[in-house]
Amino acid sequence: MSDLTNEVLEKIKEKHIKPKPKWEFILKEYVIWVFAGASFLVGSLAVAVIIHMVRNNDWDLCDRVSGNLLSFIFATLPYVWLLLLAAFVALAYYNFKHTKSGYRFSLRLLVTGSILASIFLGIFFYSIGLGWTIDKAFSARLPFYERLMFHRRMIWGNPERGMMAGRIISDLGRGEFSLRDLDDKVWMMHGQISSTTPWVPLRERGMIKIIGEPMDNFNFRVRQIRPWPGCGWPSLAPCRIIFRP
Amino acid sequence: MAENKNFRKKTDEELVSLALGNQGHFLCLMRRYEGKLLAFILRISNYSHDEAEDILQEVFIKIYENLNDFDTSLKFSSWAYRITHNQVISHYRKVRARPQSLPLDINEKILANLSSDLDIEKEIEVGYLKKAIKKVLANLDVKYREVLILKFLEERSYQEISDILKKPMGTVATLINRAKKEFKEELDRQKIKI
Repeated sequence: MSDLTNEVLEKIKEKHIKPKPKWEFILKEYVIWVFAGASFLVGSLAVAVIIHMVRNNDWDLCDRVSGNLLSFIFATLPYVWLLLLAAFVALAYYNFKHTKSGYRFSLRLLVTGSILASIFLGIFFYSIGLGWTIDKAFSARLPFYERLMFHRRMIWGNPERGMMAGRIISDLGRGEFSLRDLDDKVWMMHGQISSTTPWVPLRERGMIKIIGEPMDNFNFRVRQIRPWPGCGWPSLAPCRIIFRP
Repeated sequence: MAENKNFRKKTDEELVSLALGNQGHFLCLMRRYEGKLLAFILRISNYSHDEAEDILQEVFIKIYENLNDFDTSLKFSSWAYRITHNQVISHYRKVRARPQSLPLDINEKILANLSSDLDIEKEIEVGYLKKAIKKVLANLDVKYREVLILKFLEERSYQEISDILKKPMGTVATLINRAKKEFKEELDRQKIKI
């Protein structure tokens, strides 16, 4: 019998070394899988919000805002959510790579797989309204969220170009109401409602987007009203109410 | 004696199960792998025999402590080599030592393997060839040297190398190809003709 193996056995006995219990390894593996799954889930939710934002991106205003489609796309891409998606795909990859059999898969396969799976689950989440719900919850509860969605302000903070957004602050009556815009300026809105829809929150404190033209520094003629993202009801296409001037 | 003979017939996986219940059975596993793992440590490092033995002791203790983590979808040998490889790397980091020369044990079979795979002429004198291979391997980057050692000296399959180094099979294949290229370039750099 060799000295080395005897020495090791002596050491094991002397120091009372014992094999670590199996549950420790199982728990560690579960924790890694839970983190990988959670990262994948958050990535999929980010996809749902991205789809919601892309579909409700006021594409018909492309010419009015940017002049050409490409610059409109770059100006309105939901960068924050794309970054979140990238971060959580990377986290899912990192965690999966650290599972017991994760090393067997290549970087390309794992990243492509986790992006594709996030897209499929994201489409499902979007179809059950989660994209809209998250956008709404973030808009309502996180004050900095709207600042991160700077493209909305870029498009809808342009009363001089006939596009503005804000919160209704007065009662509706005979097609007139007052509104506080994104720069906290109060406007009087003029128009006559020709049709109504439950999709647009035409009520006090409701957040809306308006297309029309300024009459002067404080008055605005309303042509169209659209729901602010996350307000009103989720819609596949921008919801419009036509005001009769 | 008869008991020893019985243990010799047992597979590694059976011995792992037995060792979990009785420390004594771990001795059989250690004895089975002592020589192989010591040779592996010496091949991938520049440590002295004594240093390599110290590392091997740590390896065996690590193996014992982690017996419950042994994944039966792997070969026990791949798992043991993986722990050994990791222990050598962590020892490198501790002492910040880089391999200078390799006390490689290159036998005729290994030479035949290397020759056919690396297009080495078979007529070359064996002594000169061994010396040249040692010199070239010693100068290769660790990541290339270890795959060449695992492939040609330890004669491990791609799957086993993948399990030992915890890299995908495709990456192992790429590493081996690059290592062969590096090997040939190192031969040219050192103006060794084989």
